[in-house]
Parts: sequence; C-alpha cells; structure tokens
Amino acid sequence: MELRNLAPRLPRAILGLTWREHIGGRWAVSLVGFFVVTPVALLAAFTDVRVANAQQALQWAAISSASLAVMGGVWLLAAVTVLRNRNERPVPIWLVVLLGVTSGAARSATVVVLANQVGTLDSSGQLWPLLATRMATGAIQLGVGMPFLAVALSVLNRYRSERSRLLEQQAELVRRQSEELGASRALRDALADPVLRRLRELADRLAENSSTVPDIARDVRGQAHELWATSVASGGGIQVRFRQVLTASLGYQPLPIAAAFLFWLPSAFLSLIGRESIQAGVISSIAGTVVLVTVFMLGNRITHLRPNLGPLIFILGNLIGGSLAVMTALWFAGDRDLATEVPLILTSAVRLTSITLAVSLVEGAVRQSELVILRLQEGIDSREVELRSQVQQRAQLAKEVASVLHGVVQGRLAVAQRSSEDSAALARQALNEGIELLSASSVTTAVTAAQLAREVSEPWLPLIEVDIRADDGIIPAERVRDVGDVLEECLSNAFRHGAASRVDVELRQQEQGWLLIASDDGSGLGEVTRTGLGTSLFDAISGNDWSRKDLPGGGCQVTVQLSTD
Amino acid sequence: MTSVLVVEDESFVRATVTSALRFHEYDVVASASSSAEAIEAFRLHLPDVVLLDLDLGAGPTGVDIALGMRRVRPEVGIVFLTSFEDPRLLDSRLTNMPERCAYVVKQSLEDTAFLAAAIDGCDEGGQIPRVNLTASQAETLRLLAAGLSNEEIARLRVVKVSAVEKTIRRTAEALRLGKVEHTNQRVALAREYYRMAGFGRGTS
Repeated sequence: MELRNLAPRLPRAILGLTWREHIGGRWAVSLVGFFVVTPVALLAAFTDVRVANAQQALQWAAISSASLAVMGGVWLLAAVTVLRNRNERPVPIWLVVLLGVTSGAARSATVVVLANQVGTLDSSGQLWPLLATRMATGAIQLGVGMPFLAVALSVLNRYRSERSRLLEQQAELVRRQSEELGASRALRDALADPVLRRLRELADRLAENSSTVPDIARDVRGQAHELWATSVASGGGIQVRFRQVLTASLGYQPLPIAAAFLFWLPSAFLSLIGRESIQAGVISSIAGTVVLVTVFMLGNRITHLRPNLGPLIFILGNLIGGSLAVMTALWFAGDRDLATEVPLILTSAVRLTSITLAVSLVEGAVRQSELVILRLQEGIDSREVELRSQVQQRAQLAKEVASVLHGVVQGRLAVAQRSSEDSAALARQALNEGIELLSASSVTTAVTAAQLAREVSEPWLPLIEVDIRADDGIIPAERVRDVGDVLEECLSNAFRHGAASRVDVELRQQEQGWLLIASDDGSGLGEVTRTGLGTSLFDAISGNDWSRKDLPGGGCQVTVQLSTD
Repeated sequence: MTSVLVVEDESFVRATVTSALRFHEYDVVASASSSAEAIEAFRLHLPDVVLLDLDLGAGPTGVDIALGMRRVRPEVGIVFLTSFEDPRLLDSRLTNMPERCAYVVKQSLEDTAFLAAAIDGCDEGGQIPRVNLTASQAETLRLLAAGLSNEEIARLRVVKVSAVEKTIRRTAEALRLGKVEHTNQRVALAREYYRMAGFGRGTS
C-alpha cells in the first residue's frame, strides 16, 4: 500500500505536531489504537497459522478477520457510547485500560472459539483453560499497550497546545517590549517633558501673579506623588507557568514506559508460543525478553559509537533481536525443530520491529516537542529579562524626576511659602531650578540597533553618506554607549583618515551580542598600521575581538564584536 | 568684500560675532548652528572664509566640518574660534589640523579687530596652540574631568590602572599641579581641564 510513500513524511508529520487534526480530541485513543495496533494484530493473527493447506489458510484468515472485527466493534461501541458522552472532558486512563482489556480479551476469545468450531485449533487439550489463557494474554497486551499509546498521544497534544500558548506569549512579549521601548525612547515625552511643561507653566503663572505660591506647591506635590506611584508600580513581570504545565502534562517518563513495554513483551510471547502450556509460555517469554534486551543494549552501544548508522542499526537490531528472541522462546518452549518455524520467526520479528518503531517515533516526537518548547521558553526568558530592564529604566527615570520635584522644587517651595518677603521670587527660583535639573536629566535606555545607528550617524550625514542595515534587536542600556562610541569611531576614521564619502554599516545580532561591520569607500588602510586611540577603543570595547582589512575595490572594512553578556 | 560663513552653536556668540564682522565690513553670507546647517550653507554660498566653532556637540567636530568643506572648495579659508586652548582637549585624535588655518581662542580675544586680522591672515596659517601635554595625557585628563575612575579610564584606554595613575601624575607635573595641602589633586586636575577648555575660571 502507500506505506512506502507515507514513511518519509511520517516522522516530519509527527515532529511538526500536526497529528491533532487527524487523531486529536476524543477519537484519538480509539483511532490510533486501531491504526497502530491493527497491522500488529494482523501479523499476530497470521503467526497463529500452521499452514497445512490452502483451506486451512483461508479458515485462519477468516478467523483473524472476524476477531479483528470483534475488536474493532468493541472500540467503536466504546467510542460511540462512553467516550462520546464525555464530550470535551479528557478520557481517564482507567477507561482506556478497560477498553484495551475488553477488546483484547474479546479478540482472543473470538479466535479460540472460532478455531475450535472449525477444528483447526492447534491444541489437543481442553478448550476452557486455553480460552482463559488466551483471553488473559490478549487482555494484558491491549490493556497495557493502549494506555501507553494514549499517554504518549496526550503528551503530544499537551505539548502542542503548550507550544501555541508559548508562541502567543512570545508575541505578547514582543508587543509589550516594543511598547516599552517606545516609552523608553520617548521618556522625555512620557515623563520629563510634561513635568517640564507644567513647571514652565507654573513659572509663567507666578510671573503673571495669576497663581499663589501655596497653589503651586500643591500642584508640584501632586505631580511628585503621581511619579512615585509610577516608579513603584511598574516593577511587575510576567509569570510563566511553564514548569507547572510541564510537570502536569508530563506523566511521560522513559522508565515507566520502558517498564510497561517490557511487561507487555512477555505477554506477547505468551500469546505467540504459549498456546499449549502456560509454564512453557512464561519460561519462553523470559528467555526471549532477555535476548531482546541484550540485542537492544548492544545496538544502543553501536549507535552511540556510530551515530550516523543509528536508523539502520535500529531496524536491523529489531529484526535480528526479534528473530533471536522468538527462536530462543521457541527453544525454551520445547520446540527444537526451528527450521519448520521460519514463517513464525520472521513474522514475529516484523511484528516486533513495527511496534518498537511506533514507540520510538512517538518518543522522538515527544522529545522533539520538549526541545521546541524549551527553546521557546529560553527565548521568552531572555526577552523577559530585557523587558524587565526596560521597565526598570523607566521606573528609574520616574524616580529621578520625582525626586527632583519632591526633594528640590517642593522643598524650596515650602521655604518660599514660609518666607514673608520675596515669596514669589523664591518660588520662581525653585521652579527654575527644577526646570534646569530636569532638562539635564539623562538616563541611558535600551534602544534598537537601527535606532542607535541612525542617531549616531545622523550628525555625520552632511559629511558622509551612511547606509545602515541592522537586525531587529535591542541593544541593552549598559552597552548603548559602547556600541555608539565604536560606530562613531568607525565613521570619524572613515571620514578623517580614509577621506571616504560613504560608509555601509551593518549590525548583525548574534548569540553573544552584536557584530558591527563598517565598510567605507575611502583610501583604505594603506600604510596605516599604527595603533592609535581609536584602535585602543576597539580593543577595550570588543575585548580585542575586532579586525580591519582593505576591501578589493578600495576602501576598508572594520569588523567589531560587541558582546552583550 | 570677503564673504564669511559663521558656524557657532551658541546663539549669543553667533549673533555677536556676526554683527562684529559686519562692523568690520565683511560680507557675512550666513550663520549656522550645527554641522548639517553649516554644510548646507557652505554649499549654497561657497564663502571665502568660514569661521568655525570647534565643539558642535555630538558627531563631527569643527575640524571634520573644515575637512569636508575643503573637499568641496580646497581654497576656502578656515578660522577656528573656540574656547579650547588646544584642540586635543576636545578630542585627543585632533592632532593633525587642516593646513592653512587660523586658530583663535575665545578667552584670549580682547578685541574684534583681532578676529578680523585672523580672517584676513588665515591663508598664511598660524600656530595651533598646544598645551604642555602629550596626546595620551590630554585624553586621560579629559576622561578624568568627565568623572571616570582610574579603572574606567584604564579599561577605555586598554592600559593598566598603574599606567593611568602614572599618566595622571605626569599630567599634574606638566600642569604644575603638584601636591598642595587641602587640595584634592583629581579635583585640581579637572578644574584645570575645564579652565583650559574654557568652561570656567577654574583655579584662581
């Protein structure tokens, strides 16, 4: 069938987490259970065939199909009645176990009863003990297998929703960050300027005698209080509940899953081989499991040494391990004539490979989602730090303005109010001093790289053409000055020493910070090898991580690494 | 009549200089308060002489503006009018000044006729005043006056802190600011810097 076409797309589909559309919601358990387990069950059904003649084969095929239909019927019934009635509520795990146990037992019972009816049952023993054994093994197989799949799928779904939640959170952060950045850059507009305007207004009113000193003092006090409130209130951050979500969604643990898998395997062996004697079944399944685990561990080791052989070793290991395990199991079950059991051995190996492949695909998808989410989380964390520092800067400026108002203007106004003569003149002095202090107040704030480059190069534009290409990122407040100085140095060098008429400035964001590349069309380095004040500035700011070279078409290029750690 | 462009960021000085030059019968074609305005006015009027302030705030200095103008019109006369007793006190990289230019320190200007003489004679060039400091001493002094600690100066200049201390000691000796009782040497140095940069009377 189209399995071959599907195969290359399958891992990507899982890793891209687009399965929900097909298997999501309350149908996930039943549908995936069906599609993943059906080929396995089909193979298992044919391993029951001791093909003596064509008629027997047909009989067994009919029996297998009937048993699968019974199993599918149980699932359909469960899906239509129980699961559907739960509406959008999550399906509890016990219900999945119950469904697995019921459908597994029903399938095995169908096989045994029908085989008994047509007389092809490979047993000379009694019907009832055999029926009980086969129903128990069938119940165990699906009772363990289905919840495992359900858990893995629900983890995937949780990851998916968590991922979209994180993406939304990131978008929200970016939005808030740009808002904060706008506010920081427009600090004068947002905080200092209105206060300045108000102080000037008050000074005018005082000059016109249209306002009294106590009124002005009240006004200033009000503004100072408001600013204090701003500076205190703006310290909050966004709480990420990621860890709780992760802990809650992750019932996923590799060890329990491995344990469940190992628990499931013996029962599978039991159903394979132990059709006549439970004792032989138990012994053979233990022996088969030991062989299988040994082969897996060996494969793991080889994969560790030669990672690029991983997929090949995985599949070969499964096939070889599965064959060996079945052979061992048969040997311990007392069947020493292995040559006649080749079809059984091969189908068992394929069955095992398909199961482990499905399990490892699900596990890989879970791991991949985990990685995606962790990376998203890291991005969000670092953005949060940036955002917090911006918020803090704004708060700092608010505090600064407030302390000028509170400590200087308000204090002096209080003195002016108490002074019997020259009260208005003293008040005017107080206001003027406030205006002067606020005009000079300067808090360096974070800025986008493009904005900084534009600001630094703007005064040079009459002399030299500057072309800026900058990544969309932010230069933190404590590095704004350094980056600005380096760029200024590049521009002035190009103009003064290279007699350049144009400089191309590129600011690339990198993991550890920023890379500044300034290329000019000047005379190049020529004989300039001396180290000057400019080069020592580059040394200091980049930590000696900078270089310069002549460009082929003339001019020179300076590359400076600006770490922001 | 010699056409003159006045570039000065302080409006009072700009107005005073402009009217003084007009009094001395120069054709003041324009005045500018920033580097952008200066270049624009220069391209428009192509004056014979430009009277340039050295410190125009952030970005290019008056020296850069002069270099840019010379690239447009090589024969233009340049007169720097500044409060810095040495251009290296503004920017220690300004060791190579443009050829054929006059350098007038505002504080030493007693008469506007002196300014007129500088404009007339700027083509002959003149001595660029130098304070008794090396470029690295001037740079260290500027950073010290900007309020940087020895550690910060050492980081920016990529030298050891002990080297900064030594430079500061040498600078103090060169400026004859040896140990005086009740005076902090750092404060005395900063004060001296501001005096030489024309920002205040400094020490008496």
